[in-house]
Amino acid sequence: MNPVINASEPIWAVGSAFLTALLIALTGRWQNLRDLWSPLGALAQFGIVASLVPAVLSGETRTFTLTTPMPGVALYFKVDELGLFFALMASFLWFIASLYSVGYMRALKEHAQTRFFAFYAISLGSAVGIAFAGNLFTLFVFYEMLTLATYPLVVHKQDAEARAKARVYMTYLLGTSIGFQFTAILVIYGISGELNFTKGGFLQGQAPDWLLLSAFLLYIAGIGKSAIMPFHKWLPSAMVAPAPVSALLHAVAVVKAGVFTVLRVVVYVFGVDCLVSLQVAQILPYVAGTTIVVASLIALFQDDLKLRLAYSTISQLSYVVLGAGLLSPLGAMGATLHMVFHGFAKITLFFTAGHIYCATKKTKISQMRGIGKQMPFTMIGFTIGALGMIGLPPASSLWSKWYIGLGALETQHYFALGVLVVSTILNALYFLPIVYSAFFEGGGGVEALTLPSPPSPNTVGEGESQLLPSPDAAGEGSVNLTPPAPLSASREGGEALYSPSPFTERGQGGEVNPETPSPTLPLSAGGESQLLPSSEASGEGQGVRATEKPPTSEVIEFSTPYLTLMTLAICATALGVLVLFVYPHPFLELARRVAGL
Amino acid sequence: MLAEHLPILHVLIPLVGAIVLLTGGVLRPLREVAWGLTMLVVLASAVSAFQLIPRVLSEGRISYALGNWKPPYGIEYAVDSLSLLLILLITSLTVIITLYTRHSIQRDITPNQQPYFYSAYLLFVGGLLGMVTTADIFNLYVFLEIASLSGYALIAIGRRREALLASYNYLMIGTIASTLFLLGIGYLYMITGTLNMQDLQARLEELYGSRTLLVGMAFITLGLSVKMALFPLHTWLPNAYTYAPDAITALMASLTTKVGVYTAFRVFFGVLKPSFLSQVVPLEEIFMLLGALAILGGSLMAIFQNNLKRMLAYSSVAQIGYIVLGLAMLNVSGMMGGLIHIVNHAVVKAGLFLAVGNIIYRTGLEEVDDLNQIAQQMPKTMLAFTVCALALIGVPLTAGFVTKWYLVLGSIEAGRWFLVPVIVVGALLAAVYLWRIIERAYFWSRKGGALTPPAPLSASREGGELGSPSPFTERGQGGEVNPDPPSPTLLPNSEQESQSPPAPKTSEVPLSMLIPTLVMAVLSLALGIFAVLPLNLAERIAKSLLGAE
Amino acid sequence: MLVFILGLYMTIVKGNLIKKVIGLNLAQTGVYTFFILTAKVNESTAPVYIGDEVRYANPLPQVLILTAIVVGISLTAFALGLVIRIYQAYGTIEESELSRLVQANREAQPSTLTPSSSGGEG
Repeated sequence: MNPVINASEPIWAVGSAFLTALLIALTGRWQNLRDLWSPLGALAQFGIVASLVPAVLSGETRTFTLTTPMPGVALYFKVDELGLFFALMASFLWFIASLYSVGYMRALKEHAQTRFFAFYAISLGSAVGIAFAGNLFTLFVFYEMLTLATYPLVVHKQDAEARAKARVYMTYLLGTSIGFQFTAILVIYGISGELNFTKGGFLQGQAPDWLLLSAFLLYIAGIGKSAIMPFHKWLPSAMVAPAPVSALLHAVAVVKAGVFTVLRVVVYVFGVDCLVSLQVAQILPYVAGTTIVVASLIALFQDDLKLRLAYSTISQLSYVVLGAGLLSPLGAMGATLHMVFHGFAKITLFFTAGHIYCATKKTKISQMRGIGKQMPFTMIGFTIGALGMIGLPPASSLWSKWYIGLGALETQHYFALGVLVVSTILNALYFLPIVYSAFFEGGGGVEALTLPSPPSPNTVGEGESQLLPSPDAAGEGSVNLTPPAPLSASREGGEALYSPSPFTERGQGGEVNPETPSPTLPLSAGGESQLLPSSEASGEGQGVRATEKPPTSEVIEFSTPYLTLMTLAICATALGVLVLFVYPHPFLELARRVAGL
Repeated sequence: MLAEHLPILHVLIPLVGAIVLLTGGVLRPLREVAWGLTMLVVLASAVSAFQLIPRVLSEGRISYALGNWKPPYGIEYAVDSLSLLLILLITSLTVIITLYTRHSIQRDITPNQQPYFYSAYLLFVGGLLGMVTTADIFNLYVFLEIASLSGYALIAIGRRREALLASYNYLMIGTIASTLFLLGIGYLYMITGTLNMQDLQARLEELYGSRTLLVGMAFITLGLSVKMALFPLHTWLPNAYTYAPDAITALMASLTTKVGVYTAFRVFFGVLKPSFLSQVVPLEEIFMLLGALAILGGSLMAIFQNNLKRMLAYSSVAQIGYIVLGLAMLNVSGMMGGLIHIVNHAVVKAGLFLAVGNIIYRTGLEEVDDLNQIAQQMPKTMLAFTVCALALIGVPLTAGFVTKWYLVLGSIEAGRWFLVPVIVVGALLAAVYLWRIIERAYFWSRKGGALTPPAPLSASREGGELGSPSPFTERGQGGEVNPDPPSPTLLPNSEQESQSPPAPKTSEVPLSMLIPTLVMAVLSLALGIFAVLPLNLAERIAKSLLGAE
Repeated sequence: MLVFILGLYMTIVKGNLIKKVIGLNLAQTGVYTFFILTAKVNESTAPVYIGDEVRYANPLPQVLILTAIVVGISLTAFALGLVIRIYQAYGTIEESELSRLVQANREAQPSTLTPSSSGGEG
C-alpha cells in the first residue's frame, strides 16, 4: 500500500548543496562565476526536492542507505511528508537567500566571501540532510554538521565581539547536542535497539515510564536549536552574523532544524500515544508557553532590530514546540505549518533588516523613522512579515496559529490558548510601532530636513554636532546623509567612506555634505533603476523634492544593482507569505498527512 | 618457508634493522641512506604484518614456538585478533610517521647522528611489536624494557635541554614501574611455575583466592598503570611528550601508552579471567573510577595549558581514561569502545601531533597564544588539525564519535549511569581546549610580527598577482577555509599572497611531512565513516576476551 | 625485599641524580634476589650437571634474571649517560637546583640546546 522505493534522490538533494560548496570553493577566484553557483545549486536542490512531491503525495516512501559506519547504525535517508515539507521550504528559501546574499555581500564588500558562500551552501545541505534523515543517527550527523558549518558564518566579522558571541553560539549548540541529545539517542538505542523513524513512534512500552520520560526530556533539552527558554541564549548571540546568515539561521536552517527535530522526535520516535501516557502534555506546553511570553516581553524592549527579531524568533519557535507538545493531531498540524509559514515571514523580516543596514547602516529601531519613504518596498515587505508574526490576515501564519489554537481547544489546553492570545497581542505591540514609525512618523523627519538640513552641515561644519543631537536629530541626519553612501561606495573602492558610522565619516568631511558627491553619483550608479522608484515614491504621496535631491526621502532601495537584487528578494519572500495565505492547500494537505489526519 | 615464521618476522625485522644501523653507523655512506633503510625496514615489517591478517581471521590464534621449543616451556609467540589489531596499528602508523621523520628530525639532530637515531627508533618499534606479539610474560617484560629504553633515548634527543630532564624522570618512573611489573611476574611464577600466559591462565584459575596472586597482581597493575599513564600516575607523560622531537611525540603518543593498555588487556583477560575481576577483587570499579578521573582531570589540565604539545599530552591522559573505562565496563559494547579507541586515538592524536609538529617546524611557535591566523599560513596543516580535532571531540562521522557511541552504550548496558555524563563532559572539555586553537588559527587577527617564516617562499612571484586588488577577489583554495583579517581595506588579502610583512604567506612544510599529516586526517575520517571493519575485529576481540567466562 | 624497598626509598628521597640511579639499581637487585629465591629448592646445588640424582635449583629463574640483569645494566648505563648530559646542560645534578633552574628558565625565554650527542642508546 505504501511502497518503499530505494531511490537516490534524497542523497542528490543533499549532495547538490555540498557540490555547490565545492564549486564555490574551487571557483573562488572568479567572483562572478562563483556567485552563480549558489542560485544554481539552490535551484537544482529545489528541483530535486520538488520532484519528490508527487511521489510522496501518492504515498510512496523513498529511502536510501548511503553507508553503514557502525554495525546497525546507518546513514539512512528517507523522504516522507514532514521531511519534504522542511526540505521544500529550505531549498526554496535558499534560492532567494542566495540572490539576496550576493547582493548583500557585494554591497557591503564583505571579506572572505568565498568562505561565506561555501559554508552557506554546506549549511543548506545539512538542513536538507536533516529533513531527509531516516534515523536518529543521520539526523544527529547533519545536526552537528549544521552547527559546525554555521560557525564560520556567525564569526564572519572576526572581531572580538563576533568571536565571543560565536563562542556562546557553539557552547550552547554543541553543549546541548553532545551533552543531551547524544545521550538521549543512545538511551533510546539502548532501550529499543532501533533508530529508524517510524510513524507513531517505536518506543511505546519498551521501557519503564520514568526512563522514557527522562529520555524524552533529555532529547528536548538536547535540541538547543529549537531555542526553548533555558537554551535560547545562542540565538541573540548569533545576531553578530551578517544579515543573510541571520535570515538563514532564523528562518531556514538552524532554528527550523531544531523545531523540525522536535516534531520528528514527538511524532516519529516516541509517538504521540506514548507521550500522552507519559503526561508530556503537562510539561512541554508550559515550557514552550513560558518561552513564548517571556521572549516576547524581552523583544518588546530591544532597540536593535535584529535582536528584536531574534527574540521574536525564540517566541515563534516555541509555537511549534507548543503545537507539538499539545499532542493532538491538529496541534501537530499547526506546528508543521507554522514551521514553514514562520520561515517565510521571518526571512522577509531579516532580509529587511539586512537591507536597511546595507542601504543606510542603521540597526536601531529608533533610527528608522520614516524609513518607509526611502524604502517603500522593503518596508511593505516588513509589514507583511510583521503581520505574519502576529498572525493576522493577509499573512499565512494565520493558518498555522489557527490550527494550533484548534489543537489547544481539542485537548482543552486553555493555558496554551491563553498563551496564543497574549503573545499575539505582544507581537502586535512590538512590531506595529516599527511599521507605524517607518511609514508615518518619519513625516516629521522629512519635514524637518527640508528646512534645516541644507544649512546644518554647512553652518555647523563639524561632525560632532550631528552626532550629539537626540534621536530625532539623528534620524533626520541619517535620512539626510546616508543616501549617497551606498551609491558612492558601491562604485568606488572608497572604504574610508564606509566606516560603520555614516555620521562620523561625513562629519570629518566637514563641508562635504551630501550635495558634493551625490548629484554625480546617483546618475552614474543607478541611472536606469531610479525611474521606477521615484514614481513609486511620489505615489506614496510624499513628493520627491527635485531641488533637494540628496537629503530627500528618495527611494534608495533600487539605487544600485545589488540593492535592487535584495529588494527583489524581499518582495519574493513577502509574496510567498501572501501566496501561502491565499493558497495554502498543498501544505495543508501535507501537514494533514504528517499529523495523521 | 618464510610464511612459517610469519608471526615473528615483523618483530625481528626492526630489531635486525636497528643492529645494522647501529653497527653500520660508522660508515659514511650508510648515514646518507639511514632514513631510506629505516623506511624499508618498517615497510617490510608492515608487509609481513599485513600478511598475518587472513591467517588470523581464518585460523584464530597463530602460535609460534621460538627456537622450536614447544610452549609452555619455550618462549611462545602468538598472534590472536587482539595482537593483530595492535600489530597492524603499530606497523602502519610507523610507516606513516617514518615518512614524517625524514625532514622533521633534521631540526633536532645532525646527519651524523641519524643512523643512531634510527637505530633507537627501530629498537623502539621492535620492542613495541615484541610486546604485543609475545605470549610469554617475562619476554613481555624484556620487550617492555627494550621499548622503554629506546624511548628514553628518543625523548632525550629533543632540542631543549629540558628534554634531558624529562627523559631522566621518565626513566626513573618507568624503571620503577617495570621493576614492579617484574616483581609481580615473580610472584606469579612462584605460585604457578610457568610464564606462558595461556598456561598461567589455566593454572591460576584454581588459585584465585591466593594471597600471593593478589600481591603479584597488585604489583603488576601498579607497574602497568604507570606505563599506560593512568591518571594519578601520569606525571611522566606531559614533560616527556612536550620535549621529545615532534615525530617522536607523535609516535609515542599514539603507541606507547596504547601498548601499555594492551598489556593491561592481556594481563586481565589473557592471564586472569574476567571472573577474577568480578569475583575476587573489584578492580574494575577502581579502574572505572580512575578512568573517569583521568578523563575529567586530564581534560581540565589540558584546558589550562598554553603549550601546544603539553596540552595534547594532557589530552592523551584523558583519552587513556576512555580506553580504561571501556576495559573496565566488562561488557562487549564497552570493551569494543575501549579497543576501537586504541586505534582511533592513536590515529587522531598522531594527526594532531604531526600537525603541531608542522607548525613548530615552520614557524617555531609552540604556544596557543601565538597561533593567530596560522591557518592562513598553513592552510593544509590546519585543515588536518581541524579534522583531527573534530575527531577527538567526537563529532559524528569521525573516529571519536564511534568510540563515544560504544562507550556510552556500554555504560548504559552496564547500568553505570554516572559514566555517561563523564564521557559526554569529557567530549565537551575536549571541544573547549581544541576549539580555542581553531578559533585562533582561523578567526583571530594576526599579532604583529609573531611569525618567523623562515623560507621567503616565492613571495615575489605571487606578489605579481596583486596588481588588481579588487576587494572582492577572494582566493579560496580547494575547500579550504580562508579567513581574512577584518580590515579588508588594508590588506588586499588572500591566503596565498600579500606584500605587507606580517601578512600571511602560505608556507607549508615539505611534502614528506604534509602527507603523513593529511593521511592521519583522512584516516580519522575514514575510521568514523567506515568503522564497520575495525569494529568487527574489535567485536571479535571483545567477545573472545570476555567469552572465556 | 628489604633491599628493594630501600632502593625505592632512595630513588624517591635522594636529591642527587646519581644516587637515584644507585637506588634504582638497588631496587632492581632486590627483585633479582627475590626471583632467585623462588628457584631455591631445599638442599639443592647449583643447576650444573654433575651426574644424576642430584637435587638442583630451578634453572629457569636464574636464566631469566640473567636477562634482567642485562636489561638493568643497559638501563644504568643509559641513565648515567643521561646524567652526564644533564650535567653538561645545567651544570648541576642536584634535583633541587635543577628544578630551580627549570623554573627560572620557564620564565625566561625557553632556550634551545644544540644537540651534541644523542646519548648512549644501546
